[in-house]
Amino acid sequence: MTDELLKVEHLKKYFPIRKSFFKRSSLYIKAVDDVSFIMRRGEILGVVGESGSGKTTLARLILRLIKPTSGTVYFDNIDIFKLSEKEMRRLRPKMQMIFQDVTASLNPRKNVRDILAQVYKTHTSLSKKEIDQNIEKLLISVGLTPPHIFMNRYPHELSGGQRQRVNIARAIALEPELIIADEPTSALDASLKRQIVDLFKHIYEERKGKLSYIIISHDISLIYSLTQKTLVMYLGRMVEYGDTKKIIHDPKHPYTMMLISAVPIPDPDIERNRKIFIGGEPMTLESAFTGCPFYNRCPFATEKCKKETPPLVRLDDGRYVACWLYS
Amino acid sequence: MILLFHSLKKIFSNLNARLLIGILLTGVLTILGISAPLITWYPPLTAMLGPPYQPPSFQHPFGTDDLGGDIYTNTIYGIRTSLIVGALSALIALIIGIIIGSVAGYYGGFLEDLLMRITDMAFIIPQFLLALIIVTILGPNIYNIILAIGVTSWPGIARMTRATTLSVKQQTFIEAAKVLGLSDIKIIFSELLPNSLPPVIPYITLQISSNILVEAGLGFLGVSDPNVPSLGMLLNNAQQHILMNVWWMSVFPGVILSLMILGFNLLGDGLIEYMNPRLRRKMY
Repeated sequence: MTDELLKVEHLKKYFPIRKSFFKRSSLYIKAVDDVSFIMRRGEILGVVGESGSGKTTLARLILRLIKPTSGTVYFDNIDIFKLSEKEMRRLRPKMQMIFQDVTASLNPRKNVRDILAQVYKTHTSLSKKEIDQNIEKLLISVGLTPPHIFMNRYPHELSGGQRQRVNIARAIALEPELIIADEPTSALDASLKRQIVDLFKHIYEERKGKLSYIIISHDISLIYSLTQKTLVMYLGRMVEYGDTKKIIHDPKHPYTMMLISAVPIPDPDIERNRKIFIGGEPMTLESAFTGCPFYNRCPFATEKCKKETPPLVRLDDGRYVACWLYS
Repeated sequence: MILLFHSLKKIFSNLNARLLIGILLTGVLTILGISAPLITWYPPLTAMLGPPYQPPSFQHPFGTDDLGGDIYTNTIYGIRTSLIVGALSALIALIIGIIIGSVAGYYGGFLEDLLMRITDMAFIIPQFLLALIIVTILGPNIYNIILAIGVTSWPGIARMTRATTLSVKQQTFIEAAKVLGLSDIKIIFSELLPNSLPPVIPYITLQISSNILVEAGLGFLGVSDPNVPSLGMLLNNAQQHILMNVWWMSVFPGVILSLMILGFNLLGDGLIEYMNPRLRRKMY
C-alpha cells in the first residue's frame, strides 16, 4: 500500500487515418498526446475538456481497454501494459468504470440479478445464496429499494436514473480502489444529477481513503462539487492541471478561462450581459499542426505560439499550465 | 365474444400468411413423422406385403412398389428420416457456424480475415458435391450422411453470425464486461451470443429445408442408408420404374417432399418477416 495509486507517464495514443484500403497514411489523430499525472490514494480527479478532447480515450487507456502508442500507466506501482491478459483480469476488480451510455452498458438480455451476479461469479467463490445477499445489500446501498423488486427487472424496465444506479452498483461491487466515471450525469436530468452526485459522495465517504475517483465530464459544476484536482484537456493535450478550486476560481490557461466563462449562470440578467469569451471550433485533428493546438482560437496568440508547442510548466502555486504566457 | 374475436384477429394479423402456412405445414408433417409407428400398419422397408405395382387402395393408400412393399409406410417413415437428418445436420452447421462467425467477428484483425477466407472457400465448393464425396468415402449410413451435410452447410450461418456479432460488439456492455475482468470465452458466450444469435434463428429454418433437399438428392442418386427409409431412396426406386406407368411410386413421396421443403421455406421467410417490424409494417 503506497500513497501513489495511479501514475500516468507520457501517455500517447495516435489513431492512424486510413485514406484508402491499401494505403496507410502518415497522418494521425492524436487522441491522447503526452499526458502525465500522479494520483494519490483517496484523491478525486476531474478531467474536463470539450467533446473530442480525448477524455474517454484517456480513461480507456488507463483501464487497458486499448493499447497506447507510447507511455505507461502504473497502477499500484504495477506497469499495467506489461501484464499478461490473465494477470490483467485479476487486477481488473481494483479498477472499475462507469460508462457514459447508461443504457448500452447493460446487457439487454440479463436482469439486474444476473448482471450483478456475474461480477461475483467471476472474481469470488461465493455460493448462490451469499451472492444474492450481497446483491441485496448492494442494491440498497445505491438506493434501489426494495431490492427484491429490482433484482428481477430487465434494463428496459428501468428508468435512466435506475439504470445508472445499477451501473454504479456493478462498479462498486468488488470494492475497487479506482472508479473512472465517464460523463456519469450527462444522460440524466437535473434532479437526478443531484441524486447521483450525492450517491458518488456517499460511496466515497463510506470508504474514505481507500477509494479514488476519476470523474470525466464537460460539466464544470459537477467537477467543482466533486473533485479535488482537475485536469483540463484540449485536443488530447494537457493544458492545465492542479487544484480544482484554484483552477475554477482563477484559470490561467486561455482555454480553461473559455470553458469556465461558458458555464451558464441561472440568472437571466447576468447571463444576458456577460460575454462568453471565445467561440470558434477546435482545429481539425487531422491537420498536422505544429505549435500550440489552441492557437487558432486563442486571443493572446503570438507568432511563437504558431511555431512552437508550449511545454507544461509548474507555476508557483503548484499547478501546471501549458501556455507561452507563463513560461 | 367480440373482444375474443378481436384479440384473435390481432394475433393472426401479426402472424403473416407465410408464417401461418409454414407453421401449419411443418407442424402437420412433424406430427406425421413423430407418430409414424402409430399411423402405419406395416413394418417399413419390408417386401412382399402385397402384390407388386398395386395402385392406391385401402390396404395400401399410396400403392405398393416393385417388391410389394407399402409405399405409404415407407413415405411416413421417410418424413421422419428427413426431419431428423435436416435438423441434426442444421445443428452441426449451427455449432460450427456460430463458433467461426462469432470468433471472427469478436477478435477481428488477422484471425477474422483468415476465418472468413476459409468460409468463402467453403462457400464456393458446391455443397451437394462435397457431401456426396464425404459420404462415399465414409460409407453410406445415416450418421455419415448427417455429418456430411452438416459440415458442408455452415458457411452461411458463419457469415450471418459474424455480421450480427460485429454490430453487437460495438455496444458498451461488451466493454463493460471486459472491465469487469471476464475472459473472452465468457464474454462471447454470456454477453455476445445471446444478443447476436436471435437474428440468425430464422435462417436456421431455411438451412433445415436446404439440408432436407440435399439429403433427398443424395438418396435419389442412390447414396442413402439402405436400412433407413428415406424419401430420396423412394424417389430413386420410382425413377427406375418410371416407364412402367406406376405414377404412385414417385408422386406421393415427391409431393410430400415438396410440401416439406415449402413448409420450412415459408416458416423461415415468415419468421424473418415476423421478427423484423419494418418488413411487417410494409405488408399492411
